[in-house]
Amino acid sequence: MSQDLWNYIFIGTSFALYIGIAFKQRAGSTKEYYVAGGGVSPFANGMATAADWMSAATFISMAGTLASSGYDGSRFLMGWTGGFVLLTVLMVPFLRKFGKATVPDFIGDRYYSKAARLVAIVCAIFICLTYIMGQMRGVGIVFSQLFGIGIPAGVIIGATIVFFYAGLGGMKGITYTQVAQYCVMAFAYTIPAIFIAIALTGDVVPQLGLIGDFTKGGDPTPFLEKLNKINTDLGFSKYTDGSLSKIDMFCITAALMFGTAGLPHVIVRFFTVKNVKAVRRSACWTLSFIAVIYLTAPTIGAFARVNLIGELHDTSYKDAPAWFQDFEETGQMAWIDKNGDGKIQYFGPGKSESGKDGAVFAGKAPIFAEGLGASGERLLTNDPVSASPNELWFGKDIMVMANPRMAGLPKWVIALLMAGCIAAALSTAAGLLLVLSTSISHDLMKKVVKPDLTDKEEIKWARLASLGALLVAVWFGINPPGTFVAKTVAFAFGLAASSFFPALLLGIFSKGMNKEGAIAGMVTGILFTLGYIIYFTYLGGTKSQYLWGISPEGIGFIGMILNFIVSIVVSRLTPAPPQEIRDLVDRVRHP
Amino acid sequence: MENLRNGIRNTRIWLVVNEKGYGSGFLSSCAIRGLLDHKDTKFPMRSIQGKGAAQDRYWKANLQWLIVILGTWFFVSFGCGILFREWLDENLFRVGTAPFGFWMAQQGSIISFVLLLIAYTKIMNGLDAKFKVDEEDSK
Repeated sequence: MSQDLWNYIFIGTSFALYIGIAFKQRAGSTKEYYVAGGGVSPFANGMATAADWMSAATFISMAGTLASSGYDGSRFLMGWTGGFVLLTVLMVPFLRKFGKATVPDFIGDRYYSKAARLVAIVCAIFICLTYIMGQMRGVGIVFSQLFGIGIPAGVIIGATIVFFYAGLGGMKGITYTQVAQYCVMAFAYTIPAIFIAIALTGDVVPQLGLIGDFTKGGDPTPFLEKLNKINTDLGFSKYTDGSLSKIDMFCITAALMFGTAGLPHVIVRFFTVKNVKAVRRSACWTLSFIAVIYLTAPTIGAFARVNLIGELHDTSYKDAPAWFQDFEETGQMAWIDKNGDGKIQYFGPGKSESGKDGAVFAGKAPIFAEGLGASGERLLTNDPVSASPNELWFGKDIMVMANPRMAGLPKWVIALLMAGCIAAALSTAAGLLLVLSTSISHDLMKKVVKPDLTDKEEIKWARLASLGALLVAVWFGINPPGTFVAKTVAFAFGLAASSFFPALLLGIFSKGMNKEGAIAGMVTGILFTLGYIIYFTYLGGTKSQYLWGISPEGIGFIGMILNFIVSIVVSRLTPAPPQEIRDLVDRVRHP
Repeated sequence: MENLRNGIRNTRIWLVVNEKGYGSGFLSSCAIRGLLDHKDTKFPMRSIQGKGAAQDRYWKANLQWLIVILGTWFFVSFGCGILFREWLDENLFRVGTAPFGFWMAQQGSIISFVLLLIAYTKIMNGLDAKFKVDEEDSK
């Protein structure tokens, strides 16, 4: 059977499953629409939250980032799992006890003010939009590769599917769809890793392979030592050492962690279970399910690195494996024969003249020219960088997709991976869409604009809002604002950390926090973070201007500290909150 | 009327708590039912005075455990994985063939997080039972 046929079978079946589930579990009332009626079992909710949580960025880019940056990639591993500890011990049990459907609801009631609610709504919409743009782009890329269509058409197909089942099914529909999606993702991620672990290290469990010996051909050597040697021989830094500064590493990890604990679409997941006890159990399940994937990612990254270099470095183009040409075709790999020997050479920054820059060509991405070169490779219009001997360029996002092909795994494994990839993007997009639509229908329309809205009208508004939000997301998916998926997603975390986290935390743990403090804090935090990101991403700020060497990805942490300081100072200078609020806090603190 | 009903309910809770949670089955079940019924509405607690002491102790115990858990959380991730990584890589034992700090950053911290959450759930459920703030579970 051909690869295409396998792809269609796997993806077709999984889609039929998702839409079937969404139709069967579609929401009838607002409570079902927003929080799935509040009676999802902790186990199912854990799985659904894990699927919601792991986006296309996690699934596609993370292993690639780990492969190319080694230790530095740990910031994503720790950041995106450690945040769940904060979320569980500091946030969700209390918010669940409070018993409302959304995060702006809590902020609005706890800070007894419409202004606070409005600020929270704006922050929620902003964070979710930033996040969903990346997802739609991810869906578009997978579809375009799959069907050989342009990315815009891919984005539109993906958006239509998401609208159908998120709009129709509401939280109830997507929860059960996400359970199915998690299963697809987990299999798609772990099965290739197991095959490759057996081939390279002889261990069945990939995690043991990583800390075991490399056994493929020749004497067994410790796997990571082998990888370090491969890296340093080619002029890269050691795999187990990083190149990021310690403070930047610390801040990015922290921004991802605190951002996780402030992300509205994750928090809202825990409103779908029965009670506080179930929330805690559910969080345990969620993190366990996430850990399955996150503990596998570093192994995929490391194995892929060994395979990639082994298969390509110093191989003549004519003998290169077939997948190399396939990725060249889609523009995700490129080769410039700088020394004219017909062989692919892959070198790190250490081999270049300056010792710092291993670029293949000028510019960020390859621009292909018409016609083929001497060995039959695609020619580029980019100017080659002669100071570096490196000839091979590849996009980080291909690692996960290319891995099974590098290892020569059966076709159905690759098809499964495609299905997993789409599941990851769709589940997150659906969850975000739901929060966006709730923010508009419930928080904005019902609570602020038109309080006499009936249940039916509210759902109608929610569906309308999700259509509107999706159109915006499609627009940005087709015309991405500057940088791409993984980075956009990292920014969403910075924004969440600097706006919601302090407001929620102080709302629960400080009785004296009042509305003036919270509003001032949220506004300061998000404006500071957003300003810093925009300045360095779009307005041409350079690395030497970084505040204490902190990159825009990590600045959310500083924004968060600013938010805390402003909140506390302002709240001490303004009147204390009324007694009802203190009682409310008391009530929230006890299950 | 609504106020009166709330008043009666609050009195019941007050009674239950005043007896340090050893209230008769009838009273405590009424109180719990009252809490459950009103999960989604504002539940005035101002009149509940006697509840304070037990609640405070519960909250203090909660905070103490929070500090222990967050301390561990910080130590395994930021401590072992980032701040002291090089030192640990050099000086501590290896996990299999992997340097300790690197392993903590990519595997150990995640495993610790899962264990931490399981511990937290056990501890909090224990606290809930001890201070009788348990919700009715199988409803």
